[in-house]
Amino acid sequence: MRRFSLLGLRGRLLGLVLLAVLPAVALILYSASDRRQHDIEQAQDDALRLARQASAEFAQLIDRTRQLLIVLAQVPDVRDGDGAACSALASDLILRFPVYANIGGIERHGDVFCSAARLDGRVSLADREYFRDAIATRNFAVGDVQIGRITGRPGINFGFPVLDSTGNVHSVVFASLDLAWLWQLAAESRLPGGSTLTVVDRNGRLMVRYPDDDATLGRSLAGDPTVRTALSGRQGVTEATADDGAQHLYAFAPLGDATDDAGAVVIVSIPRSIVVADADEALTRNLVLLGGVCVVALAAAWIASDVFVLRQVRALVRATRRLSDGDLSARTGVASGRGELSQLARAFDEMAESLQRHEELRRLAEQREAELRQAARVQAELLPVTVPALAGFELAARCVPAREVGGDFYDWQDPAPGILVFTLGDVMGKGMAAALLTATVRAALRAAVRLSPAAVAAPAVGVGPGPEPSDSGAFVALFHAQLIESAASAIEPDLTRSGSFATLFHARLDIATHRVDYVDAGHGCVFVRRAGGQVEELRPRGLPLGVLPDPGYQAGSTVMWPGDVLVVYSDGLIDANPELELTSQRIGARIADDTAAREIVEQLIALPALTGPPPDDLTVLVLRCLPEYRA
Amino acid sequence: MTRAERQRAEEPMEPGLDIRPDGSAVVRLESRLDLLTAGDVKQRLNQAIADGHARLVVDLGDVTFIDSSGLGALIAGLKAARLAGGDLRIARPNAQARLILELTTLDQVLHPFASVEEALAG
Repeated sequence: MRRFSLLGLRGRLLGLVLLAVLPAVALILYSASDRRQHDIEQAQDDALRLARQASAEFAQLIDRTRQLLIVLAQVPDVRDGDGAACSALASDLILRFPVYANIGGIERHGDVFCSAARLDGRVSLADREYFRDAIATRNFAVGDVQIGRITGRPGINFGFPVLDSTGNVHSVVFASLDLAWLWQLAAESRLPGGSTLTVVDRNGRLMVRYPDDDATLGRSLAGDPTVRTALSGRQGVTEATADDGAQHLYAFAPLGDATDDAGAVVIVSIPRSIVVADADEALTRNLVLLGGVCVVALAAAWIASDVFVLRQVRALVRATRRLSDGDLSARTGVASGRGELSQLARAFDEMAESLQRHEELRRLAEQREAELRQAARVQAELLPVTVPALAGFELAARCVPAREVGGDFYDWQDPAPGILVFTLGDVMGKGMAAALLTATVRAALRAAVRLSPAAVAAPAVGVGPGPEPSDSGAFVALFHAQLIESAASAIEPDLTRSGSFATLFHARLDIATHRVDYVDAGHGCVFVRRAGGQVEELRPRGLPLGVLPDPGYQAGSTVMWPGDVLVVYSDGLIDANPELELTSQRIGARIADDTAAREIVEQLIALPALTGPPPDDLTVLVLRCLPEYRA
Repeated sequence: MTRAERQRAEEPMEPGLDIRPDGSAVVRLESRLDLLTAGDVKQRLNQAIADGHARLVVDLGDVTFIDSSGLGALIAGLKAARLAGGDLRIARPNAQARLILELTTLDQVLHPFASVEEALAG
């Protein structure tokens, strides 16, 4: 296993997976925050509703209490100030209306004369505000929240004046509302755990606290900022840190309405941590879930990246390395499939295939080239290497194939003392095909020369240059023509089958008599330049080899005089210089007297160089009769 | 309609091939007749002979150059035509073609005619 790298393909893929998970994380966080906010608002609404409900119920209680006290003030026993009867009635009422802690009456000067609750001695309530208000306003009065002097419990007292027949205030009836109903209200509201319902009086003193009733009632909470806020405003919600250091949500409303102000406020408090607990729990759960999904996705990406990506990439890298190391048989082996990587692999395999094919072709071409070079060497070796010693004559030739091998050739032999046989042949076409037939023609000719009586006929003895006796000449010419005829017949089927033909100039020099007997088989590119510059073309000419099975050749003859030059060339010399429109006459005119045979060959071969490489095989053969020769 | 005529009518007209009413075919060649084109010319001539037109006239009027390979193609055509009982004649060779024909003495077997009509008649 390779070392894992963050910058590797796998690292990047895993990074992509993580990147894809990020929006989900953001979504979860956002939704959690949204839910918290919603839960908080919901809790505040609930708290405020409870505070308002307390306030509204308190207003209803005030109304009911007013009606109760109005009726009570009309009862004769009360009007008469009959303490015992009044107390009995009050006790009966308390049983019927348990919301009241006490009901009773107060004399004009402040002493309680009637009370449902038992009195321990004389109790004066002359200092109570509701008592004084009732007398002063001669109407219903609401006291502050306070600890009852008779009951010892927090409550709110209400007073109503009892008028005598003259319309003066005779006494005051009162009802003491027990704030325990708030407990019931709070309990029924199903506030979340840790929530409290508190009532403080206008001075910030604690009057009611649900659920811990034992809290020190009357304790001042005026220092608490929340209490201050609640006392200063009408109603509302807020959020603050409580004494225990925890964050709480608060809702508050005044107890009572505008007309009947009890001078107290209800404060509902809910711990923030409880409110947002559900949202937080959901957040944690979602994050854990997402983490799990993430781990699974990463594992899947790890495995999938291996199967779908890395395997192919590694195969590609391996194949590329092998290819760059020179192994052209390297293939990826993962080219099946339609994906981009498969396409890449396929393209790579095709490239490697093409490279391999090209390499094979190159090797093949190299091999062919080597074979061709070898063939060229063999062909060059088939040309005569040395020039035989010729008394009074010099011989030179050169063959330049257009390609490595060609269809031109020259050859010479000295089959008998004093006799030179030389040939220049040109097989149709060029290149390897022509070269193969060239060798055949050459071999056939050589064989024919060996067997021909013309070749071995003894040279005339004691005769100088000049025409021989006619019978001897006719003899040689006849056999010479027969020689070419037999060679032509021998190779005609080969040439016909291969759709080719060959031209040939074949000559026999008798060194003693200077007589040249020749057969021209469709060659024509031959002339004798006499000393002084006259150019003679040689006749007769016959058909090339390979055209007819029995061409019926006739030999011609001429005599070489000192300074005379016989030039045979292939048509490559003409074709290479079309603008010169070379003919034997024009070529002959280019040759100066007293030019050596070798030099003439080089001059003529050099002609095509004026216009670039030869387009056709080019061969020149020159036989020169030395000018200083004397018989 | 003879069978040959019907066959001619069905055959797509080959460019440079002109079938005369007597069954002779005039093959018109152009540009260079050398090593590169010789194979193609040989095939065209053989095809014409195989199609029953053993009497052939090769019109060299538009041929600018002939080398030995070109001559070889004409000779091969001549042999095939004669083997099929016909003949091959050449018409309108240019000066270069005449020279090479004369040099090789092939004008003895491929007599150059001045016009296609003369070649057909001769």
